[in-house]
Formats: sequence, structure tokens, C-alpha cells
Amino acid sequence: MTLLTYLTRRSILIIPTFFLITLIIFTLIHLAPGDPVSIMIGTNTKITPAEKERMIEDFGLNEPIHVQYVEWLARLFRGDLGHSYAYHQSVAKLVSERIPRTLELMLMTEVIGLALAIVLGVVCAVKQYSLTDGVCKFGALVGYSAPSFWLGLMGITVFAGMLQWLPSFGVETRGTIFPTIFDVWFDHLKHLILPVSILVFGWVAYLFRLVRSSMLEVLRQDYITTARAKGVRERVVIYKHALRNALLPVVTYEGYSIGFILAGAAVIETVFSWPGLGKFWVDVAGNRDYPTLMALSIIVALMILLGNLVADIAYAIVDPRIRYD
Amino acid sequence: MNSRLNVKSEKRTDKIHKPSMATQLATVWRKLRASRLAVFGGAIVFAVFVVALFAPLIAPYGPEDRYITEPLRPPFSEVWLGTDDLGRDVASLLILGARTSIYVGIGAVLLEAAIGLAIGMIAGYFGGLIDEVLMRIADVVLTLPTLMLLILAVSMFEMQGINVIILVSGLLGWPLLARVVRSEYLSLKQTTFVEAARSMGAGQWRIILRHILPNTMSSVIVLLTMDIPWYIFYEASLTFLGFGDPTAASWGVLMEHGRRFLSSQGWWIATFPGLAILITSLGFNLFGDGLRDALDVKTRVQ
Repeated sequence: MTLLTYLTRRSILIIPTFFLITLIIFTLIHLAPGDPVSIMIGTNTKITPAEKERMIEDFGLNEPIHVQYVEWLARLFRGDLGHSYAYHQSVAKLVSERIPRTLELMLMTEVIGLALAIVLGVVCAVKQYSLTDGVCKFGALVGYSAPSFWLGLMGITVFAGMLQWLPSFGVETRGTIFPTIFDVWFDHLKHLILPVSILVFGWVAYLFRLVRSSMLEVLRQDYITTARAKGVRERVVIYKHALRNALLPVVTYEGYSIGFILAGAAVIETVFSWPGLGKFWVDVAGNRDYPTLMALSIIVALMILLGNLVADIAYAIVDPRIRYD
Repeated sequence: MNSRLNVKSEKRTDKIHKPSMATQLATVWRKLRASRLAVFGGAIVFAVFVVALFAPLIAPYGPEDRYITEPLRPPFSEVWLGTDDLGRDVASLLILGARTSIYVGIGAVLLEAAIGLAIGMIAGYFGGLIDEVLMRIADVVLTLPTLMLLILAVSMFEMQGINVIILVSGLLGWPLLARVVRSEYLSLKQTTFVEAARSMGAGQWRIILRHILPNTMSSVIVLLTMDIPWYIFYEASLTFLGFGDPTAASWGVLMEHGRRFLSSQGWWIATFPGLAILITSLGFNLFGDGLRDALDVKTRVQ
């Protein structure tokens, strides 16, 4: 089987997975007690039961769940994500405003985290049991034992509260007019520092261990000894011969971890009032806003599946030995 | 001299036949004690368990005891870890919160173990189409964003928040365990002792449960130990985000509560529960690492 057919097969697998995820979430939110109409009406006594019935009918909520699911799918394929019950706006607009905010956090975390983890992982594996190794291992242990939202709170207390170096919430300083576009960027960058640092810290803690242990394992292989024996320079042995193979598990992990990073971002976005998808998810989860929740679920599912596909492609490129079956 | 040696070695071959459970445990115990970090981690885990178990006896005040002193007294004054804005004792709330965390951690891990073991052993032992289907399902579940689904589930089913957390995180937490168990079964089912058992007429479920299962326990226990902090995180994150019972004694609830006083005169309310989570999960992780070395489990998961 060629690389192309392999990737086609992997892509085809995405379709049932996508339906499975949306079906699970659709069923979950529709089976839950409480309906959106009651929540919208709230304590408003002016609305008569007859009017309530009509609203339920308008939203199509009186149909059985499977009919509602098929209708939702049909609208989805026409490109219609619906209208938010809670925000009275088009869901497509609400969601598309928030996607870049989350992507920004995730991409920066993935890139900075990966770079840091590789550098630290290689250094620590080469100098196993050194002081550097000890410090990094301890740092990683703290990084994955500390809850990220707590680190966020501590970061806000120290850097925004006590030292007043960084802003504590949002994406921009409101009410300030900046002279140039660079000042606007600089302001935004300052808002990014705290949330990104905390996400990176947690992410590096995981990746670092993976790179380090994988590198240690590769460095014990015979072909590394052979390379050294024939006089290849140590730098070349480590970065060319060893690193490439040591990165195989890391590449897969990176792609499969989109859901993990996304969930981490949801908590951090809430702590820093960052207007992204994660905070939006937290905001709408409680109010039975079906169209918005479903649109968010689709985006989350697509992001995760895309991450898996990228991992598969990257794996196939990095590892020429892979068998496509 | 010669004869004595012979007697000794004969005796020994008799014993080697099967090392008793106690001997095996003693070996693991000795190796564990040799690692200082593992002992440290184990001590933390033990302490947290004791605190969780006897929380109402240890805590000087109850969760509803207000105005034991003035509100917002700083730590290390007349109250050990200070009081919150309602004048409740932060130390007592921490002690009572340990119970919630451990309850969720243990409950979810037991559910994960039940599902993961069942799926892993069936997939690994029977192989073929069953294996293929189960592992594809595991792949899908593995990529689901657990915390986001937890948020959804807890906000949809408001009653019994803590049990919903256990149920959902256990239902989503099994794929890695199932993979590990499956790979153990794949290799163990081809060993001589399994063949011997089969040739003696042991049924397949007897082989699966009595012969292979005990041999997978090392890796299962290590994995489960290191999953407990995850479930503790989930519970704390959810209650911190405002999902779940706001009156419960939980580290996440306390942090959510203390969040408002961080910049003013109450930094300790949110700081201490976070430290409690950090120390607890550090304990489980160190202990798990130590167990892995002592039980000689291969490091790489896949």
C-alpha cells in the first residue's frame, strides 16, 4: 500500500468518528432534564402555555431525538449552523469570532512547548544524572502535578497584582488609544504572556519526559555506538542519528493531544477571561443553547480529528519503516 | 560440607517452584524503600488517605462553622491557615476537601479499571475483528476532550455532581489502560505457561482470569496510581469553574471562592487548596514512579 492510499484510509475513518462524536453530544444534551424554552422564558409570567408550545414547535423541539438529529445534520450540510437561543445572534458569527483567539493560544503553546521540550529533553538525556537533568526533572514533576488554573491564579497575583508588570485578563487594554499598530500588537503580546506561559509550562512538563526517555532509549541502540565508533562527531550523532528516531513517539503524541491542550485552554481562558472557544464552552454549557453547543462540538471534533490526521501524516514522513496496514 | 550444600540447594529448588505472594510483596517493598523519592511520595499518599478517611475527626471546625474568629484573618495568626471572608477555618475546609478529592480519585479509577481491564483482556486474548473494533473505539474515546465533556455532563445533570464526575471521567478514562492490558495479553497468551494450562484442559476464561490477569497487575497498578491525580484535577477544575455543588467542601470550590480575594486581603484562601492539590498529585506521581521501578514495568506505554 502506498502512502497515499494509507492517508486516504485514515481520512475516511474520520467520517464515522465525526458522526459518533456529534451523535454522543447531541443525545447527551437532548436527554438532559430541562428544555431551552423553559430556561429562555425563566420567570417571565406573560408567556402563556400556548405560546410556550408554539416556541417549542418553532424550534422543532417536539420531534423525537433522532428526527431532530437528522434535521440538524441536514441544516449543517446546507451550511446553516442556526441561531443562538441565548445570544440571539447567528451561531456562525459567535463562533468564528472566537476561533482565532483559541488557535492563537494553542499554536503558541504547541510550538514553544515542542521547541523547549526537545531542547531540554535532549540536553537532559545526553547528560543524564547531571544537575541540569535533576533540575529539569523536578520542574517537570511540579509542572504536571500543579493544576494549571491555580498556576494562573498565582501568576495573576504575583505579576499582575503585586508587581503590576502584566495585565490579568482579556486580550487588549480597553479604553486606551494606541498611537501605532505596533503598540496595539505589543499590548496584545503582554496579554498573551501569562496564559501562554502557564499552558507551555504544563505542556513542556509532559513532552519533556517523553523526549527524554525516548532519547535515552535511542542512545542505547547499537547503531549509535556504530556511528560513534566510526568517528562521527558527537553533535551529529545526537542531532542527526538519534534525535530523528527519538522524535517518533513525540510526533504522534503532539497530534493526538489536541483535545488535551484544548481542554487546558478552556480552563486557562476562563481564568484570564480570554474570549475563546473554551471560555465560550464554559459559558453556554449551562443554558441549553443547543445550536451553539452543537456548533462548538463540531469545531472541537474537527480540530481533534485534524490533529490526528496531521499526526498520521507526520509519522509517515518521519518514519520510512511504517507499514501502511 | 558437600552434603549440606546439596540439601540446601534441594530445598531451594523446592521453594523456587513458586515464590509465595508474601515473598513477592517483600521484594517490591524492599525496592520501594530503597528509593527516597518513592518513600516520600508514598508517605504523602498515606497521609492524604488518613486525612480523607478521618476528616471529620481531624478537622477542628465543620464546613458551616462561621465566624470562628474575625473573617479574613491571615495564616499563622491565631488560626493556623487563616480564615475566609465568612470567618471559616481554611485548614478545616482543606481537611474536609481531601475527602472529596480522594473519593473522586478512587471512584473514577475503579471504574476505569473495570472497563479498561475488561476491554483490554477481551481485545488482547481473542484478537481478530473484536480486537479491531474495540481498539478503534478506544482510539476515538482517547481523543475526546474529557474535561469539556465533563463540563457539559455536570451542567446538564445537576443532581449528584460528584457522582456524575466519577461516572463520566471513568467512562472516558479507560483507553490507555485497555491498550496496555491488551498488549500484555497479546504477548502473554503465547507463553509456555498459558499453553501448559490449556493443555491441561483449562477453559479460556480460566486462562484469561486466573493465569494471565495476575501477570498484568504490575503495569495496571502503576498506570492506575498515576491516573488518580488526573481525576482529582478534573473534580477541582470543574468545581473551580463553578460546575457542581458550590456548598460542598472541595478544594476546587474553595479556590473559586478565594479567587475574589487574591488581589485584596485574602491570598491564602485560594493559595492553600492549590498547594494541597499540588502536594497530593506530587505524592501519587512520585509513588507511581517508584512503584514502576520496583515492579519493573517497562517505561514506554506503547
